[in-house]
Amino acid sequence: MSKTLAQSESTTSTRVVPSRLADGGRSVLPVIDCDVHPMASPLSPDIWKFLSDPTRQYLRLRGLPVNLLGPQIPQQRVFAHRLDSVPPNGTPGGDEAFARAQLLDELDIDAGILNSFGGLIDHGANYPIAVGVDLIRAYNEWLRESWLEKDSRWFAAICITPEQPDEAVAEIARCVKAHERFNQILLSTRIQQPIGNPRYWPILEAAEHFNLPLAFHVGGGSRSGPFTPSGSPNYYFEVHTGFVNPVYNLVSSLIFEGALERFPKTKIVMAELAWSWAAPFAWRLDGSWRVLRDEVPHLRRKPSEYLAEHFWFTTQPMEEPENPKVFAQIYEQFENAGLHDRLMYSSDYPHWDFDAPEALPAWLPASTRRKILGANASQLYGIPVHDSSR
Amino acid sequence: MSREATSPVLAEAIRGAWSGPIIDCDVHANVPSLETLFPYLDSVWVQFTRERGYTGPLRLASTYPPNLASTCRPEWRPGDRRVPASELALLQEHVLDPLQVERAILTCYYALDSLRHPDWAAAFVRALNDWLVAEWLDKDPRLAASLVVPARYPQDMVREIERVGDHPGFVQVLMPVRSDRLYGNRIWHPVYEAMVRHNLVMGIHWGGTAEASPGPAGWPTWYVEEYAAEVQAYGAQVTSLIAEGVFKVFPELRVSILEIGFAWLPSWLFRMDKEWKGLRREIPWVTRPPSEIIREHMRFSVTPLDAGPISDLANVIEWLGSDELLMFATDYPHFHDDDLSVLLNATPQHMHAKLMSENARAWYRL
Amino acid sequence: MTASPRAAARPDHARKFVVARVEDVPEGQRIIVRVQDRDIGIFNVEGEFYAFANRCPHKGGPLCEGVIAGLIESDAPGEFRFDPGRKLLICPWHGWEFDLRDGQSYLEAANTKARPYPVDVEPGKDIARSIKSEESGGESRTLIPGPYVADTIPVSVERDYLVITMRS
Repeated sequence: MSKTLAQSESTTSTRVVPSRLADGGRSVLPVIDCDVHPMASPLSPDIWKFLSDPTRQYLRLRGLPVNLLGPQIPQQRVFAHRLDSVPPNGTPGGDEAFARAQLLDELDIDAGILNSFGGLIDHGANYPIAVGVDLIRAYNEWLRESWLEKDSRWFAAICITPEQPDEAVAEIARCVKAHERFNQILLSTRIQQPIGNPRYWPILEAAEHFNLPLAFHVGGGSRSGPFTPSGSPNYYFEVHTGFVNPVYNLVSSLIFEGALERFPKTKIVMAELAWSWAAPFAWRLDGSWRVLRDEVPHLRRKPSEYLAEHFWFTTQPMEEPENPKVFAQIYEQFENAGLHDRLMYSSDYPHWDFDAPEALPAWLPASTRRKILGANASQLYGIPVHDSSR
Repeated sequence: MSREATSPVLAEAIRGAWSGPIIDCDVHANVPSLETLFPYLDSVWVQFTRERGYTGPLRLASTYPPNLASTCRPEWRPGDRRVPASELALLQEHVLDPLQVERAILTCYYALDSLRHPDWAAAFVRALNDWLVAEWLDKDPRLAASLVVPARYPQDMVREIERVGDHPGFVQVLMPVRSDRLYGNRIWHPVYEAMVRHNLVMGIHWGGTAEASPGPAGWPTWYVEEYAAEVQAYGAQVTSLIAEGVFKVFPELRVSILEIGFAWLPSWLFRMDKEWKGLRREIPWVTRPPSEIIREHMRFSVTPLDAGPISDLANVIEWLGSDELLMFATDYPHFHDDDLSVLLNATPQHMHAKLMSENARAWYRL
Repeated sequence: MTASPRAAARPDHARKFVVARVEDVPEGQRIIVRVQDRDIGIFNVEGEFYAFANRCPHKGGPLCEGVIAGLIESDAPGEFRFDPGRKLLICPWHGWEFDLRDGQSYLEAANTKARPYPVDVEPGKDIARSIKSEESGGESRTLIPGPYVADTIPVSVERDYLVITMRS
């Protein structure tokens, strides 16, 4: 499609952008990218090699699962990707070296956390259980071998089968032993019931035990029903705008089921689920609880306190109010809900709605940018960063 | 500490905070019993009902469980065994008279959407509307009302709008927030055409019976869990109306969003406007920012308020980008722990009269 | 092949840069070149040449790697008006659309534009007249003083070249 006659030097050098600069404009703030998407088909050799023979036989016979929303409501691009993020093998997110160069190297990112769409698509739930469990395990092995072992800046979420909590717990334990840079557990926002339901508590228990955050992300899921209470939408615009919708049910469930009371060390990351909804929803949770608290005597604190204690959020998709100064007000409102230190930069590489670090307004104080770009994630995940500005 | 001891008598609190004109855009009538509607039903339907031993829509009890605090404010529970809000006299005593309302918009949600038999449901819908006219609208000139329509078949909905929509008391059509097809879908166009022709506002209101789970994350188990998260049900309908270009086809259509408040809205506006810029080609009939369309075609009742700190709420109100969007409501008889003075403190002075009556007066053409 | 319609609107203190031979950008193709620390995409759309800075005014994405598509408009759901002659450059990141003729964003206010550059087709002999050549009538690889600058492109009198105009 494009030919470059004059070799551009900018593809390998780092462009320092204003949002990365510390006070004084001299040194560069470290960045941790909390949402990167590796992608590969189970048919690709690097995953296929980990599948058992029965699984391979089954996949040959039946084919791959169809993400329920995908064929019905096509995204505006095949992989919903940036057009400039297609590696030689043709699958955006399918080539570790390419992603490493285009994301970590080019944007000078200290660490990237991999949330695998393979693990989200159907969550192993569209198949006979044994096949689903084997498939999810293969994704984790692929993440370990093709990503984590290639570069120490990669971290990864463990893919699980949430509808089989026992198998999920076993896989979590296995991955924790298999590689130290598995640093969270990945869940779709749309599994069969909201995550606070006691049937999923073994997973919450394991997360707490291993001190791993549970990261929710859009996409995939194990067939929880239509996308809205009033049926399926018709347009990708509605789907994309509606990524946020399940968070209301998830947060409500974790709080009102008493899951956060039962597992007080739980940490939840909301990835690619935006964040400006959180403060008004904290108000609504409290308002509802003040009237209806008799129903939930097992709650010992206000809902907004649970929200402030247990939840983290990634920046993407970044708010873009027409009046840029409104961004500061939105962020202030977010912090006023007790969510200081809870916002973490994410790129969503290689998707089309990608945010480079410069999407964070450069006029925010350096102390705020330091936290959002890297310090908050560094603290949550225990990822050391080299901060030359201090 | 019990709630009864701490919740102020609402009418006094409202009048303490505001002394100007009031239009209450969301008050409820509750049907005292199924038999109340029998005089308004054709005899075949009375027979149909009796021989089945049918006692009324069960869904109502799960939408507004009778014993839960949210279903009725303590001071509005009749001391005897009457159903809350089931008589005009109660409404007058509790809200219309103490608040000295100029007008109030009455909505009767009776969960008739849960009844599947198309003809039987339609018969009850007719009876309900006739009862609202006879026992409420005709007896208190301060009242205007939403008319109820069958939930599932556009042609039946149009028929009922044609039948009663010209009664001067009906200003709105009640459309429950949960439906089997999102309201942006083109199948609903004949209904919107009828609404516009009869100068009726579409009132999207709490309730509804749908096949899907109450939220996209699957079935919740606690009432408060489902209740708090209902924002997403409304948000999906608003998004659908925008994405499907309903207001392009019906530029005169007005929509009220009732009983979910508005603090959640700016977050949705920011997001829709941003997404639209990159995804326009899929829905090219959306030719201007969604937030502009919403400002022009939608209004929001302020109860439940679910307020945060006053300065944060003030920012939310500013981000709405219009002083015409908000309409005062008590949501009688439902119980919300709201404080009107908080809302007024968070709102610029010049907007108070609009919020308390002028926006609703203009919107409903009262 | 026709010159850009913007040929007449060149700022006075601008310089011209020879960036490619005309046949390097066949119809329907594009190249991205680096000129004076900027990446510039040059497109051949149905015989007309357009050039833009390879940086989207929205969030800095590589605009010139986007898709070129016709305009889709509608006045109501169910109606689609497709004008394949009215070309838009769609950013490969967030999908913003820019009119290929002048860089104007389709949706945003008039001051949101992709940065266009005038691009002209110039015969080699015109360029060569300004070239200090090592041998008369031949090719030169030296940096050329005067109004034409060609960083990496050798200029031959027999060929036609794509020349963009930039403030230097």
